[in-house]
Amino acid sequence: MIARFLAYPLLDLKTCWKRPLNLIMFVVFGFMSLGFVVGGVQVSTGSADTGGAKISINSAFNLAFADIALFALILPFFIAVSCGMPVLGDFDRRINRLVAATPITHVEYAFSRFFGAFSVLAAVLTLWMLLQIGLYELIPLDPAERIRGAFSLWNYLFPMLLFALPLGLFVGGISMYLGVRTRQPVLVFALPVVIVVSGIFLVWNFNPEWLPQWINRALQLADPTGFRWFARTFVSEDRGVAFYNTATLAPDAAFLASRAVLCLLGLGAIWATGKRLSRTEHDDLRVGEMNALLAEAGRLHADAALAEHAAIAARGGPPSATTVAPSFVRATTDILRYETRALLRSPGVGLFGPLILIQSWAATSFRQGPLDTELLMTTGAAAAGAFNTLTLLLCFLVLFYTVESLVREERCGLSGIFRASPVPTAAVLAGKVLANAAMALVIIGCASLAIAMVLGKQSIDTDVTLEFDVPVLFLILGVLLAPTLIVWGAFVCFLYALLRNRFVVYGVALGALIGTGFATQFGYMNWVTKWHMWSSVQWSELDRLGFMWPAIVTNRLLVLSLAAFFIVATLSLWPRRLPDLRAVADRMKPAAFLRAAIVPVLAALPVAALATYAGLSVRGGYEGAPQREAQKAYWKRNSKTWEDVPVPALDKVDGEVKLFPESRALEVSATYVLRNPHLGPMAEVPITVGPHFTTSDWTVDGVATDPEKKNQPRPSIENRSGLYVITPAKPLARNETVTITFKLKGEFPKGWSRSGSGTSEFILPSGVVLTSFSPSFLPVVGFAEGVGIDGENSRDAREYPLDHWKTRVDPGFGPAWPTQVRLAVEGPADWKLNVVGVEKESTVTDGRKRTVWETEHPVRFFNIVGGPLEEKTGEAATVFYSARTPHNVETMVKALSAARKSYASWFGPYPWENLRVTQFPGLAGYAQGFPGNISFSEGIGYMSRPVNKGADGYLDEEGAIDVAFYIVAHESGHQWWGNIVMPGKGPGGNIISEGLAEFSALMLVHHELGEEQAKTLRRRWEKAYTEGRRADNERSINRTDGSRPGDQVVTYNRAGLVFWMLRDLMGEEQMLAGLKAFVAKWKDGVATPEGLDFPLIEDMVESLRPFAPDEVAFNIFVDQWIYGTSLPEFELGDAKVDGAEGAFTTAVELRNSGTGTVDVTVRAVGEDAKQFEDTVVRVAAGGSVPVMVQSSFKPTKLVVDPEVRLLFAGRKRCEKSL
Amino acid sequence: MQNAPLSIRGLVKIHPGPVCALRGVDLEIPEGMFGLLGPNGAGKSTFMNIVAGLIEPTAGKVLLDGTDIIENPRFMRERLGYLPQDFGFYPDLTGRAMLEFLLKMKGVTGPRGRGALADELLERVNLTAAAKRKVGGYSGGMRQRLGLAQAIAGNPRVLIVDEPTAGLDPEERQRFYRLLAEMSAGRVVLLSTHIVDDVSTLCPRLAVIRSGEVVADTTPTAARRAVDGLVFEGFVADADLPEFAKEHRVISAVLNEGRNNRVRVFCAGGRSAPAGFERSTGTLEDAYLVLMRCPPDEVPPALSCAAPTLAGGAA
Repeated sequence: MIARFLAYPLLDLKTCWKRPLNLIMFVVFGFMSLGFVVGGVQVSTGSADTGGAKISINSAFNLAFADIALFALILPFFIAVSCGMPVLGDFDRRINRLVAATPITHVEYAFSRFFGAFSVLAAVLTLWMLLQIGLYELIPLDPAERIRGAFSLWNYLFPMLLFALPLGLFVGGISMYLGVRTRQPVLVFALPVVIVVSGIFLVWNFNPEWLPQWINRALQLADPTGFRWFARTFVSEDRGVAFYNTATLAPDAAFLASRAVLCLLGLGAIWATGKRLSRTEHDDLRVGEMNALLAEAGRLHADAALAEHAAIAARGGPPSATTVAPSFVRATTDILRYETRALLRSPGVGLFGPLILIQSWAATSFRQGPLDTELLMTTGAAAAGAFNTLTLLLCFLVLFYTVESLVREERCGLSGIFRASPVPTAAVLAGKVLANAAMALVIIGCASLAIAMVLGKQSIDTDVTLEFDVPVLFLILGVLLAPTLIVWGAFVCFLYALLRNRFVVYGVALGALIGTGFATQFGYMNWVTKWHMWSSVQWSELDRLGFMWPAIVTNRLLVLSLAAFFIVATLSLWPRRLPDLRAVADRMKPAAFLRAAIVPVLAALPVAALATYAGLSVRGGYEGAPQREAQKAYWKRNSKTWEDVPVPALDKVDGEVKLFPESRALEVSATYVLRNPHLGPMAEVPITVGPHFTTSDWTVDGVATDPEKKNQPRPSIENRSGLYVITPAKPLARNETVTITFKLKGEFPKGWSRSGSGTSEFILPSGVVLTSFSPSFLPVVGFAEGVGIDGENSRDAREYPLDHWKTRVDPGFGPAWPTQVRLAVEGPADWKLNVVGVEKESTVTDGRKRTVWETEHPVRFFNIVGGPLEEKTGEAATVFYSARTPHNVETMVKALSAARKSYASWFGPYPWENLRVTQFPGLAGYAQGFPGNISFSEGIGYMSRPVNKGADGYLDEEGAIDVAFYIVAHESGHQWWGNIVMPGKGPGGNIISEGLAEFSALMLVHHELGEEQAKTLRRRWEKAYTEGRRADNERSINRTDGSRPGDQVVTYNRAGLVFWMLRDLMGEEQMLAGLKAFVAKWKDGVATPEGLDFPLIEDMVESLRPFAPDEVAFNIFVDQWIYGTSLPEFELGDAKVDGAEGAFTTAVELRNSGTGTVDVTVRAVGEDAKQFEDTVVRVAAGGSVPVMVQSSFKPTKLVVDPEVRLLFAGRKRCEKSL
Repeated sequence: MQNAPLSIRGLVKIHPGPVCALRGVDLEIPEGMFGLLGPNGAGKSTFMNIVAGLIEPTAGKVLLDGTDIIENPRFMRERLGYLPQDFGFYPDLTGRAMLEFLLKMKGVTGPRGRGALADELLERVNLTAAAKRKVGGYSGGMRQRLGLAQAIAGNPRVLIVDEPTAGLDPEERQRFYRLLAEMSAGRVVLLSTHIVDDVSTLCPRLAVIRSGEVVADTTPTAARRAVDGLVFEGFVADADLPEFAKEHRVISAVLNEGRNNRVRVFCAGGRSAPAGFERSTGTLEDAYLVLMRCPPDEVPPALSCAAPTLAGGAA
């Protein structure tokens, strides 16, 4: 028996080197590993600083991370082909009958066949592992950036045993069973497709804050790749380099058990395959009632007898008939009909349809927008959101279904008859490809159904009914998606015509998909090469793909023309008649080759023409190479000279801005009054002009000058690669001014993007958003840091001394001195165009409206934002919105008014007359709080998912939050934190802006919406922080400067929570008094002899300290949470409940495996959630304390910090059912 | 034979290896049944596949009614009925649906529509009772008949049947051939087989192919005549047969009741008949075996390909 069992493994191992699929697998894995090593794909941990703590690339965790990624994404397909197809191949070759005649049993045969394929896979993976060892152990590394630990063979072997082996047995066994059960090779690929598609778009990353721990755990154990378990257990919360470099990758018992179950399922499937074969080879397949079986058998026997024994009747020749060679259309239709019928009857439709339905439903329902907020789904947003998933899934299905369709005649033995018939080859291919389109239609139909379901449920949950917009759905999932599927189908046909081996086609096509994925991930794709349009369909209800429409159309046409080329090439290569090698050689002779090449070359011409056009458009666009080179030249020419050089004050801006949205154009004429506010003289004054402008009519103090000319007499302006350096008639003494005037004309953004459909500032028919942060519509004073910096010339962030805050500190962003702005903005008459300041006059001429705006109180930043908008004014504020997105406007107005009122009372008076929120198309997902004129992307607030509101306006739902309110509250906070109080330049500065805006929003939510929503918000922040922090990178709040990975969650989430905890410590009244004092001191900066001084976090702490009721506790808190990086991590030990009726004692040990000494509440909760008892204990870092909770009820659950008043890691693990 | 509708000229096919499957085949194939005889591996199927337009030859021409179908394979496909040696159907379709699908692919329809034509064809091959059963459940004979039904549909100008009777019982084989014979009027029916009796029964003309070369292009009658009088039959014990074969040109040895062999020897080129052997009437099979087993110099000129084509009556 052993000899029989080993027959196939030995045979397969002996012949495996002849099979191209094995070579392809090795090459794909090898290239992926090379890409991982060279591209630095590794666990996100360690310090981003040069020379900082780094993870060893060959540590157990890093290798496991790299291996799981490969195993999860690629291995299932190779396993499925290798293990699922051999038995089907034996059927095709009719070997199964011969095998059945040998002593081998069917179960033995199934196991032998499986392990034959499996041993080859193991051999390929072993070879790859050797290559991987070579790559990870020998490739040269820059020790300042990446490090390597001691070699350990176990680190390489263990992921294979823990992840690849169970995955291989499971996928291989099930694939083999499905293939034998259905006799349909396509079904062999069902499991890999389900694993990869559901993994990428759901299982591996789906982890909203509200997800119960048990579901999270169940998903971890159910994920056959182990990716979720690894990510959620070790990676999602950064454990630090020390852990990753030294700890052992130890699976827990449940995970090990799940791996064992996978192995058993796989082995069980092989056994079931054998049993199935046994039944199909020996027994009647049909199972049912005996009587029915006998009746059926009798009928079949009678039919057979009649048919067999009557034999051929001699009744003359064939019946009269006419023959007309089938036309292309007719034949295509006939083949399409047959293929479609066969395809729709296949179990694949029943499998993949529901898969995409569930996947699309889940992905659309739980999609999150900026600041991790839930979004209101529209048809367009949902379809664009499903675009990537559908593209990937359908590419897989088109590949498998097309190849199997192409080999069907060969497999059935019909190939000879078929090829000898006069049916046009083109019709055969077209019929088959179009039939696969029917499959695609079913899948897209399921996705559409899911979208309709989401919209329906959304309307029930939120009272917002959004139209199921069929034209938009057709546009995105039809017009835009179809060319991708057509070109992919044509490419697969081309590959088959060229290679004529289904397995090689699978390998090459999967390689092409993987290569595309890599190229996309690493940013190598642009509008020329992005055949899949992944992530390029960015839907905005306002813009509706208008921004990049020419690029999208060109790309789709290019893809279609490429499909036409592949079709032509396929037809010329198609094996209708097996070619003769010598005849082929003859055809390769120059004259014959040229003749034969005429048609393909003609077919390639549109591809070349469109690719050239698209390439030139990308190059000429605002992200094209010349633009990047110009930016680099700007940096190269000016950074040494102008970085950190004191800049002048922009006292006054007086300008005319004409906007022409249809052509993206703008014309500007303006006057700048620049003043030297510094002690020393200022000989030259730099301003940065946007590269999209052509400039003219420059004057300096009334004297005309040409910036393009060198060595002009004073006063003058010189263009130094985009930095315009003004040389006044004489150096400006302190408080002396120079006045310049200029005219600018340009298009913004100019031309095409490189590949995306988003941009942060723009002039478009759908709306306008322009800011003084960048030189998009007016020059920016000074040298613009960050422009022209990429991977080649980037530098580590500046390290400031600890007492930096005690010195005079420059403003964190923008100018130190405020500006009086007067802007006359002209645009379409039916547009609302908002600018900082108040409206002074407005006139309409020839369909264009000109409005003059003037600031009544100086500002540091100014902007223009607007479009064809409506407006709604509340108590003290106005929201401007598109009629397409009115859903949250009431809430936003309410939040804006409440914020203005409450913040003014909490932090100090609001100095500007207006407080407006103005919407712009969601081509970027940000909001910016300009003084009195907040710009909001449609995706922020406007399209946030509303919560159900009760009669009182706001109804608390457990786990829900009114995100529109919260976001408006946050952005309104920036009127104080970022405008009234400009943070200083240095570590911790931005936290005054963002952290305090978060704190303000939390306060407003707490007071206006209630503590339940505030608690939800805090819980979300805590999750965002614990999963987003980089342990080795993290600095204390006062040292965080935003330059490192993980800084964002410190800036927003940790800071917001820490300020809330400080409020708890100090009491709200004292905290607000302290903040008011802070604002009062630092608004507009503090004048010093050297110039204005701006605050850092330490200044805020100093302002708060006098208001602290307990200064010692305050100082301890500040040292731990603001000047330190404390993060407790709690674990509850085994709990014991003693007592009887009316008197219970719950004992449990609480351990703090993190850092910081904190007081924390432990709550025992009864059957009725309203019954609870709290106990507060103090736990030091690394320590544990016994906790005793006395209660009159029998507790059913223990919860640590139930009111979410403390920031710590492991919250979900600290809920313990008793 | 200048006006033969199907003309094969200098057909050469070299497979990678290289293996020379056809070594310059010249044939003029008239209307009616034409048999192509040869042992397994002689190149018959390669020849048929080239004529059917499924394989490109290395060199040579195939002319159908004056049109070179190597250059213009579509011309042949529109006039071809083809029954390959080894074939199958979509197993999930019923016999009728399968046939109707193939009729569509061939562009064939009947006076009362394609469905009615399919029914008639199924009746011709006695598959009406099984018309609604899935082809996957057909026996070998039923599948073969369905193959014939699709091949004869549309009254093709050329009907190529490659080893068509494999798997058929003797009775069915005869009826199958009768149908072919009845069809042969006004069209070329090219029958490839290694069963000599089949050709003898059916074909007024035949060619014998060996190792890629046509070694005879003749009629059954002429072939028989060419060996007539030169074949002797007798019995040889099993143990003596190897020694006997060294001395005589044995063309067949058939075990007789399990004890000795009924042996036929070809006595040409001055060889004398073995003792105890009696002259036997020459058959087409004798002629075929002489072509297969005797060196060229022993083959009667009247039988070899180089001899003038023998005109003669049909068998």
